[in-house]
Amino acid sequence: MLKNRVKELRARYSYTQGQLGEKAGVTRQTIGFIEKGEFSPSITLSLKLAHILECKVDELFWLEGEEWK
Amino acid sequence: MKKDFRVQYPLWQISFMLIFFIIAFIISGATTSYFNDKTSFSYSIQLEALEGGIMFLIIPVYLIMMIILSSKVSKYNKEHPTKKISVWRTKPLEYLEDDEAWQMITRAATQKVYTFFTWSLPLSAVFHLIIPTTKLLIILNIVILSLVQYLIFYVHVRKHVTEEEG
Repeated sequence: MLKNRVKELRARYSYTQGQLGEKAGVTRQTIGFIEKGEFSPSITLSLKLAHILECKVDELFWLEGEEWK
Repeated sequence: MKKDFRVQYPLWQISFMLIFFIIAFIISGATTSYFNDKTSFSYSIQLEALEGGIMFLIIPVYLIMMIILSSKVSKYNKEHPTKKISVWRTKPLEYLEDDEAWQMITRAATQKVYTFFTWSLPLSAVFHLIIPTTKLLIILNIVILSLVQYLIFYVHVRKHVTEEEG
């Protein structure tokens, strides 16, 4: 399963889902889907989010368990 | 998002299809006469009292629904000037393509609908081949298929809208 730290890093910058979504060019709901692990973002969106949250993509998203196989 | 007109649009389509079926049911049971020659053309429908009464009520309901639908479309377009919608475009109004997550949800919903039609259309064809078919039965079949189509789409999208707001 694709895990992420979007919620944690978003809180660090005190961004709301709406603010982060606006910066990344997506809806507030999409940020919510990503945080809950219901939606795996594209490489483009992952790069944008990592840039906004000032971290590397693999610090923001990583695979766990069966997904590696 | 729950109140987004595009999310609710399949319910409007379901309502219109149900009204259409009632009108089709009444017209198919009515006495109709059709006359056409070089100088004149006439088409008349004679209804019984009950059917006439229902028709008298349902046509204004249909027109009122059309007015409400038009006002909802124009309200949506005022609120979203960069993402205007129109009932006249070929792409269905219910598609949610605001960003990649909503595109994925729309894609999954349309896949479910496609799967439904993959099975229901051949079965419908076989049904009408075997069962003695009337015009009304064919219309009923189309109405049922479209109701299920919109219901599948609505339920799938609604599930995500509810999760996201919950």
